[in-house]
Amino acid sequence: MIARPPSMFSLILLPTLQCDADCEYCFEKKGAPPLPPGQLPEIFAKIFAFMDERNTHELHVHWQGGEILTLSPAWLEQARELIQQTADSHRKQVKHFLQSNLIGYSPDWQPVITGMFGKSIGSSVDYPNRHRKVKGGAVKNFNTIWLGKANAARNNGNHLGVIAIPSADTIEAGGETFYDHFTRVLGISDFQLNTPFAGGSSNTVKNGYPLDPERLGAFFTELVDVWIERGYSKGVRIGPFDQLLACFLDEPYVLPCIWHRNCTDHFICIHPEGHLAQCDCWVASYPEYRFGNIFEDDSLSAILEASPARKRFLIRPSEIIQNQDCIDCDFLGICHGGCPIRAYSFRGNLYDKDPYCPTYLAVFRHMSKVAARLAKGAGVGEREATVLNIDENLGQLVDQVLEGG
Amino acid sequence: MSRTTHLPAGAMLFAPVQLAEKFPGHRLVARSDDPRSFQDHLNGDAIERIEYLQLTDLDADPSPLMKWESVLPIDLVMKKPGLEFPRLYAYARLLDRGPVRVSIPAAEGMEKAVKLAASLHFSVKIIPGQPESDQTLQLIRLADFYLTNPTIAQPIEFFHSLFFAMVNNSDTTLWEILEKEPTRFCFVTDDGQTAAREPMQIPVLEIPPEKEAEILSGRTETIHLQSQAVMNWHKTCAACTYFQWCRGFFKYPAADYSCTAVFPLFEHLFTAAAALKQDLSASLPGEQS
Repeated sequence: MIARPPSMFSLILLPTLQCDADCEYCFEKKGAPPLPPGQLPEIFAKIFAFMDERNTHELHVHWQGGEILTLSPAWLEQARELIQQTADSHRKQVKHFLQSNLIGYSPDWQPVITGMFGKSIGSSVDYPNRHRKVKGGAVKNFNTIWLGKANAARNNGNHLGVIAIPSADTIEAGGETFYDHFTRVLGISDFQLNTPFAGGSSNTVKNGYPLDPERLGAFFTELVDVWIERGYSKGVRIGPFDQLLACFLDEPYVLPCIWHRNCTDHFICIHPEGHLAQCDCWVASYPEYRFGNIFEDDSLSAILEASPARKRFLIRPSEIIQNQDCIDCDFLGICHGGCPIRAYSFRGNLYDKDPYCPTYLAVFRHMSKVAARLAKGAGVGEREATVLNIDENLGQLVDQVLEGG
Repeated sequence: MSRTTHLPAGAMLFAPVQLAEKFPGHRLVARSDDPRSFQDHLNGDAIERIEYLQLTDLDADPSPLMKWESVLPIDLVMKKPGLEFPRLYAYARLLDRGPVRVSIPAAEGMEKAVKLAASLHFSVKIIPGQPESDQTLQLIRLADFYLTNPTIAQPIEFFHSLFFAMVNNSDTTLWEILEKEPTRFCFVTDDGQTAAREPMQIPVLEIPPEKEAEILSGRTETIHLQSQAVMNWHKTCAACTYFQWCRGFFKYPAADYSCTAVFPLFEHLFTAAAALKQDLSASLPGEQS
């Protein structure tokens, strides 16, 4: 019998919703007490049993908040040990990933960041900053504070990957200015842009969402051109454009969750009080879309299978494919109607497609052209280049032709 | 009129999963409309002879296949693509366990089903039958979709193999590509009768009791169904540009089928193949003019 290849499942774990920042676009409803670490073995035993039923062997734990660094290093050390013991008894592999605003970073955290997270930190910063601030602080001071902490973390040998949320002012600043600020002023060579959405309770900032999808698409494509010209060959990575480029160049790629064929296939989120939901965008602010509570049943599968809310997520792609125009899109294979929270938060309809569809379409088209150009220019091969000149995709077939011939 | 159908030695059998153990020595494609039945019936020697599994009911819950340790390739067989195509999302998780193909007939909804299946990264096999002109237009659009869409990474048959046969000028035929070549592929009905594959519509026959043990034991060497008889093409085939790859495939089951309906598809693929060949030869070192 052929052996099953290794497979993976992701858990977005929110051990706390306490946060030392107060960002105006935050979608989370704060206030729940932190998760007691003593509950972790029960949680993870259920997760691993669920993975057994799916023949899944590796778990990626994405530690998010709230803010993880409002806990203590000792809390994380204990959590790591408890999770590893549970994983060992279930013969599972676990990898941990940290998302932090870095405000609470100090050298005290370094042993945990080294041992648990492999000296890798995911953080967030915007340019120009319009909405991020330290709790009780001012928007204008945030980036200075963040940069100080980021530099301290980098000086201790940590790799920083950064998520940026564009605003109307980001678009106004333009791709070149944005790129220069991130790479030269902030010294970041690995960053990703996410589209903003009006999740959770409303306010004047969120009322300005979505950003104009066409203008945002134009900003993204300009940013891509600057990146390709100045940073691509020097190792600068900008997500999701780098992954799209890999996709169109027929290289291994991992697209962000907004473009997964179905969120429910790959990850789940747990609230500090044990509530389950599709992801961190839902679990704290949309109780009606929770799948249940992990402490309410011995079987995670039983909870999920009985959940009407999860059924809505399960059928979302098939509803979209029947009722929207995605079936006619050339990029269906890398989008599948986009992100549920963006659709729901803007239009109140889970079965609508992502309102940033025009943005994505502009980016997909642009990246496919950039890939064709790079394939030719990078000497991928005269044969491929010639074919790509006629038809971008035929290049993917050339190897088989040559083998057959 | 009926004839006794013997199983060609070495033929791959398309058989109901519950009959898998009745055909020792043959490679098998085991089919069922119940995902649970594969694990129930396949073990020991039988599972080693399985080429792939065919699931014939897409309304079924795919969970048992996800939970099964086996990663045998799976073929999801559509009957009504226009109704069934949204179900592909429920089956996409199977791609995490191993190869999955979707077989799609040229019927209402084919275009949507093929596009979605390919977009979900399933392999695809289009079963063309004897397409009418409007279906040929759909097939041409799908061929373009396959050849030009940069997000499609898995093969769409029969385009894929036919295209490369044209590029490489090889003799691979549609009979082989679509697993209909009668000396290599045989069909076992749900009640255990054997026949050549359905497109030829050769009558499904009762196996004479005195022959049954011999046939089911796989010892029969005689090939009663001669491929030459099955491929006894229409007279017009002899002069056809595409005979090399078709070999009368589109003359079955209705021998009076007018191939003018399907010629545009052949022409389309042939033109694309010729263009690629020209580009390749122009770019080979030392062969440029």
